[in-house]
Parts: sequence; C-alpha cells; structure tokens
Amino acid sequence: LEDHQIIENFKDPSTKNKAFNALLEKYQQRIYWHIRKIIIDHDDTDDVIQEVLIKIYKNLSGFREASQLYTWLYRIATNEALTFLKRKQKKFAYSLEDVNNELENKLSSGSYINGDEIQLKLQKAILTLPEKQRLVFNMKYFDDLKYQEISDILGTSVGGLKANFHLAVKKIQDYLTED
Amino acid sequence: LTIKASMTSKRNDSTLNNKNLKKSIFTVPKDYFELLSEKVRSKISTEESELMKSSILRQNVFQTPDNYFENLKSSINARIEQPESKVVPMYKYQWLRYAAAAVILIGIAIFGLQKQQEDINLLAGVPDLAIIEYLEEKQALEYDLLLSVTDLNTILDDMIIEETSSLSFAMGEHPELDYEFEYLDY
Repeated sequence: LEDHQIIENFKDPSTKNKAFNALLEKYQQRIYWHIRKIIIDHDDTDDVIQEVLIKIYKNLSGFREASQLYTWLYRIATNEALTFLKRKQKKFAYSLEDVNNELENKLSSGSYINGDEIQLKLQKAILTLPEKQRLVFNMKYFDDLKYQEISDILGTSVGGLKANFHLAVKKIQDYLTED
Repeated sequence: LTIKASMTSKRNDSTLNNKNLKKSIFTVPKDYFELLSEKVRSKISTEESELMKSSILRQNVFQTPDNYFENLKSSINARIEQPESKVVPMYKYQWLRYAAAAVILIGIAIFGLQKQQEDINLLAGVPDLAIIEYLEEKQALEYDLLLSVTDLNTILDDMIIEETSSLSFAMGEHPELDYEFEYLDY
C-alpha cells in the first residue's frame, strides 16, 4: 500500500485500524532497527518503540504530507530514542557512570546481540562518536539513506551532514585500526 | 560604420589591456592549496577504506526474540483498541474532576517551587554555553515535530478550554451537579 493511501485510509474511521496495521507492517521493523542502533538494548528499544508507535497513531491524522511519511516516522523515533538516553543520563548525573558506558557494557554482555569481534568493535567505535555523528553514520552506513533524507529527518543541512559523516568514518577507522 | 565600430572596440581593448586589471583580486587562506590536496587525499582514503568497502561490517549484529515483530503488532493493537472511554464517564462527578485538578495544581505549584530551587542549584555548575546549546537543540527538534502536526491549534485550544473551565462553568452545563454534591457529601 502506498503511503498516501495509508494516510487517507487512516482518516476514515471505518478503515483507520486497518490502515495503521498496514503502516506497522510496512515500517515497524525499520523503526525498530533505527531505535535499536541508538539504544542498543532490546528491552529498552521495545519500551521506546511502543511509545513511538502510539505517538504515530495519535498524530498521524494531522500529518500534512509535506515530507515523506518515513522521514516523519524516523524523526519521531530519533527524538524519542534520544530523549530516552537523555533521561537515562540524568539518572547518572551524580555518579561516574555514564550512559555510553552502560551501552558499551550491553554490547559486550547484553542479550540478542550476535556479532564477531570486529563487528562488535565497530559498534563500540560508533558509541565513541558525538550524538549527531553517530546518527548520521548509522543512517548512512547501515540504512543507506541519502543525505537529503537524513537532512529531512534531523533538520540539519546536507553540507553539515556530509562533514559529520566524513569525520565519523575517519574516527571509526582510527578506532578500528588501534592496537 | 564598420570603421567606427572597430575603433570603439579598439579603445575598449586598450582599456582592458591595463595590466592592473588583469591582477586577481581574490585571495585564499594561508596554505589553502596544500590543505586542499590533503583534504582530497583523506577523503579518497576514507571512501576507499576497509570500513566503507566491507560488507561484513555492514551486517546487523542485533537480534530480536522470536516472533518479536508479530507480538509487537498485537500489543500495539491491543493498546490502541482499548477504547479511551473505558475510563468510566465521570460527568456525574464533574465537581470531583475539578477538585482533583485543584489538588494536583496546588501540588505541582509546591513541588515546582522546590524543584526549581534544586534545579537552579544544579544548573549553577553547568557552563552557560552548554545550557544554551542544549536548549536550542532540544527546542529545534520538538518545535519541528510539533509543526508537522496540523491539528496543533485545535489541540491547544481544547487544552485551554479544558484547563480554564471553572466549577461555575461546569455547573452551568450540568445543573444536576448541585444534587450530586449533597449526595456525595452524605
């Protein structure tokens, strides 16, 4: 089903739930993997994606289609995932612990992670990046999104994104070739 | 006429032949060209790196429990299908809503004052620039998100109406409230 049709059907009460199911069918996995790469832990991702999907359900009828549907979905997902991490960071405010440490521990010992040494090292390298570089890198490297699409999602200029991606690749490369 | 034209063009040529005019007025930052070739080299090496070429590294290392997406779909459906009216209609006890709202508002006000003081103490340790950057970033994302919701105005209006309704307003709408009052007090 085309996005436009999904949105139209969603506005009609008699087809609303069917349309939403079509949206879930089409996008829930992409949204999940996007959040998962930011949050790392499956259970946390599960909490966040549920909130994201409910938010989408509540706001979809007001979606103007000024942008692509999936950029809007990614944007909500990004926002919720980052908010989740920030809330978590707040809890660590008084200790030496920090969210990135926790995420790194989850990479090494968490469940539902299966990669060889170099793949896990790549994930650890990504965690050392500043937030924006991390987001761009994930979306470009793993999801193969275009700069323009990432720009629509994050509201950052294409030029800035290119620079961020380039920096990210360089840093990760250095990290991977270390020791 | 031809002669006249060629004379004019000759005069123009000679004006433009002024050597000073040929000098470029544009300059570049110091060491620009060295840096440029360095940048290009680094870009090429990045693009041709192991990292960018490797298909193994691009593989997804994260997994989900079995049937996770099926279950997710049903749990979301269960949440959205829960009719919001499952909450018992409270119009009969409208005054209770306002009493509860008042209690909550007072609570928030007291808590808010304390919290504000704590926050101020906490914030004192953070550099101003960091705070400004954080707020700007946060606002930009949230503002954009809000902008993509067309019914925003209606939603806000509804919220204002709901929040500013007073007891007398409610009584006007539900004259039976007087009776409920007595009944519940008893």
